[in-house]
Amino acid sequence: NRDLEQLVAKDASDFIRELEVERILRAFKLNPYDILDLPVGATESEVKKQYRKKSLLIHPDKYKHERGLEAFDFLKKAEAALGDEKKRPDIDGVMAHARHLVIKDIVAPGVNPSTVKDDDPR
Amino acid sequence: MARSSWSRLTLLAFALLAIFCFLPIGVNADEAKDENNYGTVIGIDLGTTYSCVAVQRGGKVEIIANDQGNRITPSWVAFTKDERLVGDAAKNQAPQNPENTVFDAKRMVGRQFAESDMQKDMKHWPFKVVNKGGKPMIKVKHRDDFKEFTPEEISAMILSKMKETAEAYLGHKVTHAVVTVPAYFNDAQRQATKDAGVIAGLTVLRIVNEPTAAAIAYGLDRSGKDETKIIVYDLGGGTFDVSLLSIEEGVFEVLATAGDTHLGGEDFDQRVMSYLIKQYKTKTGTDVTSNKKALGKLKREVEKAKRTLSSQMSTRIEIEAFENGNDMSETLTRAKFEELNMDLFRKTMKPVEQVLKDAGVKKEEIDDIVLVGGSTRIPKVQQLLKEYFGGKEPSKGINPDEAVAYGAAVQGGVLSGEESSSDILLIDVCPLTLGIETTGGVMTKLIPRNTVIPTKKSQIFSTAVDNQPTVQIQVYEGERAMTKDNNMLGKFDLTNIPPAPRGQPQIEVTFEIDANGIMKVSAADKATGKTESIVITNEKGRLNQDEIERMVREAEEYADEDAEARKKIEALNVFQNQIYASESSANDQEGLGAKLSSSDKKTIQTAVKEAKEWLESNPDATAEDLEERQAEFSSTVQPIISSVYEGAAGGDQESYGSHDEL
Repeated sequence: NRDLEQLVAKDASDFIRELEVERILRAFKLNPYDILDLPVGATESEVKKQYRKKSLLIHPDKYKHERGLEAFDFLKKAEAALGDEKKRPDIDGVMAHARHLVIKDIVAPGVNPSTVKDDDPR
Repeated sequence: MARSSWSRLTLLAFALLAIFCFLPIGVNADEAKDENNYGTVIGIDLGTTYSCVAVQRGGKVEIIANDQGNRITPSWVAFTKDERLVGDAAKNQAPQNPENTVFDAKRMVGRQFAESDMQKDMKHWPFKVVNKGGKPMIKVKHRDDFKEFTPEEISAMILSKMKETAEAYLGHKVTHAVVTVPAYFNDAQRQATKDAGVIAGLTVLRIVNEPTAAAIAYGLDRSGKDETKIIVYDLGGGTFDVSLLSIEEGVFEVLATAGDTHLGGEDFDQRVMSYLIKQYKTKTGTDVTSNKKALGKLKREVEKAKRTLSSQMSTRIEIEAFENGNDMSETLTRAKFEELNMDLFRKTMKPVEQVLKDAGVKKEEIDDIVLVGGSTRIPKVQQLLKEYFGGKEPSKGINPDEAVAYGAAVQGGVLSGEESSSDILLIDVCPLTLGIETTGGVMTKLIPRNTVIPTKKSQIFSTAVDNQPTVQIQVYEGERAMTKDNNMLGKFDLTNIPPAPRGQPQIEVTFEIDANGIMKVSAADKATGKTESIVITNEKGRLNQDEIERMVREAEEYADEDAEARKKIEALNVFQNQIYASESSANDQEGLGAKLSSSDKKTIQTAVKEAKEWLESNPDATAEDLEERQAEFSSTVQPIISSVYEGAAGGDQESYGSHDEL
């Protein structure tokens, strides 16, 4: 019976791993925050912690998935990009600009987008 | 009534549902078992001078001692008139059999005969190395025949020995292993190590970098704490590695690695040997450089002296009958030893600087310096490191000889899905930049060094002239700007490109580095949609499939021969013991001998004489012959001796004193 429990637990954790691989593969590749599943502007240590947590979940040594290598590669590159002092400001700049455009698109014409309260965690 | 049957139905439905729910899991688990059942995965540190094997069981790592009771085994193989010896036995008999005792195979694997390091090493080796199609082969005399072995085969013999050591300890067969290599090993050296595993009958689940493995041994009980940045300084018998790692919550991530695949204790010994040979020549006028037996004795004593100098300031090297009956006696001080090797010690600081630079980490940010490899016991090495890190004392928490095998065993646990390893992960990097040659002999980098592996990268290239039907992809590794200064891994052609102006065809070249640090390259013509991809064929260096299969067969034959030889020796021992015991009983004036009638004595004495004569005239007798002859001997002698015992049991107490003799 304990074996069965272990099997169920293993299956459940494999299911979580599979979901995570697929989430990363679906994520918007130009947005490293999205790949890491973090809010824009997360601190460097948050980025590193998240990257390690997700690595333990989806690294090809931990879970065999057809596209596991690809998913891990995305994850690593996202962490590297956000960890790079030179690249980080550019990424954050692009993200801010993109939000600005999105907000501009949804608010009524004539309203200055920068006056809109932006508290959406995405 | 109706209600009760209804509920019974529900119960049945639930039961069925439950069965359905569990069935797929059970089936999946069975399938997974077949595919991923590696059995116990052992970790082997295949060193230049010594090897070590470890295993993880039930969350505990154990270093396994060999049949001599030693936790490390010399990476030596010897060939004699009657048998093949591996490990301690090979090293112990080396001075008597220098030409047929092989060591340093790790300095040959994956290398070319013409390489300058090879040429230099060959001058110091007492065994013969020949050139076979550009590859080095070791030529020895075995059972009166000359035989040639590749470095992979010699390494395989050492791996087999380590495998047997583990099997003897575990009590069952072992099929899968994690084998370590220096982090700075290149593609060919990694491939060759993997091939050695195949020849030894082992599936090498993963090639792990030595400093990374050592970092696990260091960091296992520290996981869970805040991020720690460490430098692993791994100076072994033949190779040198430095890796910078970050450890946090069970994730061991290599940030940068550097090193020298040809620097270690062997080189320090060599410097001391040259010095002593010169000293001996000035004192006695005799040059021993071509006296292999003398050099073999000197090598052994120099290694001992070097070890002594790690704890003492001075030591004496004394060799009786060093050459031509003359003794050798020299004093070696620690200061002299350091002077002889100072440039080599200093050379090790460059890779330390390199990893800090590559990882973008300041030396003040390093939490710990971990020492691995026997040569880190040298006080001067520790002092140089301490000075470089502003007085920070290197960590001495792990055993420098065993840490690598320990870590390899843990990674074995991770890969075989051991429960205790579920929250440990190794993330390693490739040590060298990989690229292809483009017009003008330029090295176009595709994967820079210290890229996290496994990884994959594609880039589009095109043709250089109009209507070019073929492109040649030449793959290189190395840090220099021109390919001629780097190391070629192999090349292949992509043919049948449809005619087009130059620059128009799109050829996608894909580099893939697996978790072992071994590369696969393919190219595809995108324009035609034809995804004709070709796996790289390394024409130089690597063994082909046929060669490997032949070597596997030969290795099995050797294993059989060894088993046969062992059986023969055992049978011979048993038989000889019995002969001598019977002989001494028959000649005994008291005890058992006194109880034998003279005719019984005569029978025994005749049997003993015949048995001895038979052994002398049948030196090539097999184990079976010996057992058969022994049974015959027993059937003559045993009944006589037993009858005396039976008689003794009923009567005379005094005769018990004679039992000691048996």
